Amino acid sequence: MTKNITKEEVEYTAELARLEFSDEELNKLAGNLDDILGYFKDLGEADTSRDIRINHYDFIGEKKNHFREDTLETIGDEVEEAIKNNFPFRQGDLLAVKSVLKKK
Amino acid sequence: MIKELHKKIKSGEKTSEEICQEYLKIIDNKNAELNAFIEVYNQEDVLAQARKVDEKVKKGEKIKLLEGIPCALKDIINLQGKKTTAGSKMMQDYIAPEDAEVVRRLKKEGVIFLGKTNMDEFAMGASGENSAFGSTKNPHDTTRVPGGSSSGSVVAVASGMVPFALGTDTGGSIRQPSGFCGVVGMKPTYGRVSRRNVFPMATSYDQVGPIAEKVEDVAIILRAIAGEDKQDNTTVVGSNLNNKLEELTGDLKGIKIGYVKEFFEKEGLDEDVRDLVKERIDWAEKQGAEIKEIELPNFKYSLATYYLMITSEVSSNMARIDGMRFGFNEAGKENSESKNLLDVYKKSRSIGLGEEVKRRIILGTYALSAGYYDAYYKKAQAVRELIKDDLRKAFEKVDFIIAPTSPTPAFKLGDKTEDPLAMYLADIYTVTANVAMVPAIAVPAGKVKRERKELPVGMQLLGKWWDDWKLLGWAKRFEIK
Repeated sequence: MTKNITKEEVEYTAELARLEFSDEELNKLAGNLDDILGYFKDLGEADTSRDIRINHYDFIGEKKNHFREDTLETIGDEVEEAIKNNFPFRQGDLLAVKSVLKKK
Repeated sequence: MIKELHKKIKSGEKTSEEICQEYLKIIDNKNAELNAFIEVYNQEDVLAQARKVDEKVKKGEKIKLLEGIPCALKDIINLQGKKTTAGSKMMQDYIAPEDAEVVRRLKKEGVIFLGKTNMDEFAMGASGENSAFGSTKNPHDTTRVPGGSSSGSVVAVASGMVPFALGTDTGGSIRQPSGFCGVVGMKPTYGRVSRRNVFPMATSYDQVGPIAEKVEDVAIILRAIAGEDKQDNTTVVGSNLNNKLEELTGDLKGIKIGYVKEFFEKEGLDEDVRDLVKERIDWAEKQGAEIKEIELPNFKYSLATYYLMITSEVSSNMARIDGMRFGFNEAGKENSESKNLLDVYKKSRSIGLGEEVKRRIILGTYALSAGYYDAYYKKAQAVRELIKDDLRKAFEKVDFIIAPTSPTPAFKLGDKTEDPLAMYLADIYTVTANVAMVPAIAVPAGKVKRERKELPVGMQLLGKWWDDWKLLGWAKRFEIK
């Protein structure tokens, strides 16, 4: 039986998702995903041939979606400080990260 | 329960301080075994808040219904200045900069927070076992799971540690554990309650909802947290609830209840669960309700639609969990192996996140990737509309639908941890309400005996969009005396 997903595809997807796995983990994951994607395949049988308008909010009827004015709102110094305090590497008001470019 | 506590505080029969103390004592006695709380707040801080309410009472000032009443929050809901771990190692040091809108509203009503409850990591799980802080146990049988992902909130209520708690429900995360533990839990209509400052799992599915022992308490809490929030534009104008509790009469005479044959013929449905829920339907008929058989032809696609869409949304929402602005950062570790920014992303996420979260990220990334998007995500979106259409047609004929909450009573710890697909199938009856965005409430249906232990079984009432309050009224009638 052909597989729904190969180990190589999982490895490539992990790269896209910014995740790393050991070889053992990859094998296990490929097995899990193969089962789950097999189950998802049932969806292919659903008849979506008619013109279906995708509108998650069609049920709100008379009610209205909420929109706010496009105006600048500030969060205040206290909240701003609390956000910065969550930085793993804070330098003053800046967030420090590893370099993107490779050193020679 | 809330009304009684309020009466006591108001009349001076008991102070809020005494009430909070009593609950803290129960937490102290039971939490080591049940592991419902990730964090319990400092007793002195809690009691100081309670004393303020008591002083008001002493001075003869009027107090609100929820003033001085303690509660717990699922640890994915922000409480300013306190940790929000989301049940993850990744977030174990994260301090919430702002209150969630639901918390802001409860604070305005004078509610006192006792702590944060355990949960499946980032709300991904159906057993409470996917937490970086250990599994929560079912109080009816500690060798069994409490259900998930709002495992700690439900167990806290079921074991009497708090009178009520908040959870979140993306595919059954309030209702399924409520069923397993014998309490009442509600997922409101999508758009009813603000999700601001609640960590998102699947944006087009998540709703915050209340958990309590009684339907009336769930109604009191829903009324307090519902309504539009200008900072969350998924909330809908006019979604506030200003109804009176006296309206919750829920007379069943002449009410049409939908019976979906397929629900009760499904493979894997425990016979005792089936019989118990059917008994409740027969009971409703005796109360004057009309039972109508209805069809949901696309119900069979609900679970696949759900898991496809939510994993896709998860992969996108979880992209922000990269250790840069908050959370675990591998570069800060002793002997860090990160040499550049890309390394930091990968290693922080790989070490900080648990197995199920990573599995869902990979699934979602795959479903959204080039070449698969049309076959998976787009197809699932279209099927979601078909399922909504099914329900729209059903609600032209009936007032609400009854379903089991889960195919079985609570299963054993470890039973499904190695088989993710089997774990996903535990959500079979709950996901439909989230796919269709309708309100649904879980109430106890009765108990079954397993290995000489009595285990609760839950049932669900699914209502029409925005019928949340009516649904609460009907659910109240189903409470077992």
